[in-house]
Amino acid sequence: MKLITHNMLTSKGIKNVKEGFPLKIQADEVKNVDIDFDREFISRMIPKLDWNALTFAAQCVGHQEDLPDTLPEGYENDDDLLKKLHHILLEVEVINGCLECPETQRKFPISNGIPNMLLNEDEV
Amino acid sequence: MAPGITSIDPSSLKGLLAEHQDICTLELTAVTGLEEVAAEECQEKLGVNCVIARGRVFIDIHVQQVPEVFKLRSIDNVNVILQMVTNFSFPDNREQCFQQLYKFAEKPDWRKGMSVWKNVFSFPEEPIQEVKALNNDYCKPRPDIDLKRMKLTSQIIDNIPEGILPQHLKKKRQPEEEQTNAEINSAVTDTTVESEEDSSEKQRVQASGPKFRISCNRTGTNHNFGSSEAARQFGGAVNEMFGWPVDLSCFELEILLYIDTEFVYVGVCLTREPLFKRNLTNFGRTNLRSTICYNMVRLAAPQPGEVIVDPLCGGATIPMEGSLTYSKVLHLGGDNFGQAVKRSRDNIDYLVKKGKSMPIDVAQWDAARLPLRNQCVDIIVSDLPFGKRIGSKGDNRVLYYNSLLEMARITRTGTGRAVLLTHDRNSMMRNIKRVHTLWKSATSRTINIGGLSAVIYILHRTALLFDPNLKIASKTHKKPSEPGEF
Repeated sequence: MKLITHNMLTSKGIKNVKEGFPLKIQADEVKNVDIDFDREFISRMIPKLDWNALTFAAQCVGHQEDLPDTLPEGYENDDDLLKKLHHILLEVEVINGCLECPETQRKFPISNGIPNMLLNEDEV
Repeated sequence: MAPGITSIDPSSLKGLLAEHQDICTLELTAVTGLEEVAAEECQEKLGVNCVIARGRVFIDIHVQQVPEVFKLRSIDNVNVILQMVTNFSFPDNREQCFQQLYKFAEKPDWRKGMSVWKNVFSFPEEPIQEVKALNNDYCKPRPDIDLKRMKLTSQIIDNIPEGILPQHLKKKRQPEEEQTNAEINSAVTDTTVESEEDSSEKQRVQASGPKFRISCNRTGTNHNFGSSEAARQFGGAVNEMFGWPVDLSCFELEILLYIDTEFVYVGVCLTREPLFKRNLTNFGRTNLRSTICYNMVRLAAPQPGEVIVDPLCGGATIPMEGSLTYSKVLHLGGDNFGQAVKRSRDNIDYLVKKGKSMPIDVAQWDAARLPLRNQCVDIIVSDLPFGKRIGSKGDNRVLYYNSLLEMARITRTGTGRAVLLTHDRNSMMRNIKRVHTLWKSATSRTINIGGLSAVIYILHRTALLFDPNLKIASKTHKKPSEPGEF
């Protein structure tokens, strides 16, 4: 699972869960993969992301790499920041571990890089 | 739908004219129904003139440019066309037909076509050494062998003299009469029996050059010979002219002979296996061709920085093809069937290992209850279960409705779009009507997937916000269902 995916995942399918976001990551195994850096892609993607969830996720997997607390102005011209974000969002992959719902603490296992977000009948 | 092949005017194809020695005409086969999308890609990437016929696109291209054609993503096979004739009037007499087909082998521009073939396959020697004139009138026909695999439903059985019909076709001839008439209504049959010429005994002596076979495709009801018989005559002549050995299974060169009523063309196949097999290493039961995947993603026109989701991705064929061709877009796939998701992971890992950079991720989820935030996705591209091999039409009615609602929730209002493929039109049409406030149906295209007529729907997200009550209302009416597995 990439952190960019984490930025979109929620557990709000569970009964009585309002937001279910951001999920807490418990990473047992993390891998780096190589993805070509694409300025246009990353700078257009950033405004669509939830910045707080992103810094939270980076913290969870130990890749915080001094990300600013808020998205700085003029980020699209800051090549260093874009490259850093590219690395965190696309190249860091959680292989094993789990995701945890912030409201119910329900755990979603991640195995072989695949988060299992299926819910049981009694949870919905 | 694109016009049939017989409407093609060969004089509009420059590569077929003798004065253009450095331009060749290629036939690119595409999925029926998506020819325009393929032609659009050719024009965009190669800037060439395209002529569309059903299931194929013809292009004129400089011989040097041919390798670039194999990089196209929307086409299945590439053939170079050597000769095209629109009025090949077949005589009533079988022997005269054979003679014409046999002599026809002298007509094509073999040198140009074979030099294209030689470059594509890096064949070590010059395939055409010396050309012998044809001495015989035609090959000895062998109907006992050539008609062995002809089907009883074939419409040309009645045209073939009684005496030479093999036993299995003869027996049923009288009682079957009525039935064959009934079958005629079901359009013109494609007797696409691929078949062969087997080497005429005497020529084996000085065989050199590429091992070849002829594959003949014949369509039409008035012929008095089978496709294999035509292939035998044409192949016999090729063998005699160039001295190439015949090998039906381990061939290096495949020559295509296409006959549609009076329209005949000859081509040389430039692809060893169809290009749509490029991505997958771990196959599932219902993998979609990569070319169809590409065309579907193309129809969604992704812009840089957008997010594409396939909520029922199965083996992730669509996200994979998408991430290989649109690298400025995030591709996300998910399925509720664990094995399918594992398979997608295998396929992705294999390509990543080969050094491909793919902005793609997969998850396991339920398409009727997606674990995604509201309005975080721009495009949905998905191949829904047809209800044939996987799922059932009964399940589809509920599954389609629930997934259309979920898709509406996760896509951005106003700009979101969905490209959905299904064979189950009834369920789809009914459900599109039910969600008309959220999704506006723009266009649809009928395509042919392995003989099934499937439809690609292109939907646009309206500006209306998703109303969670819609879902609850549906639940009280119908019992919750398991989504069809992929």
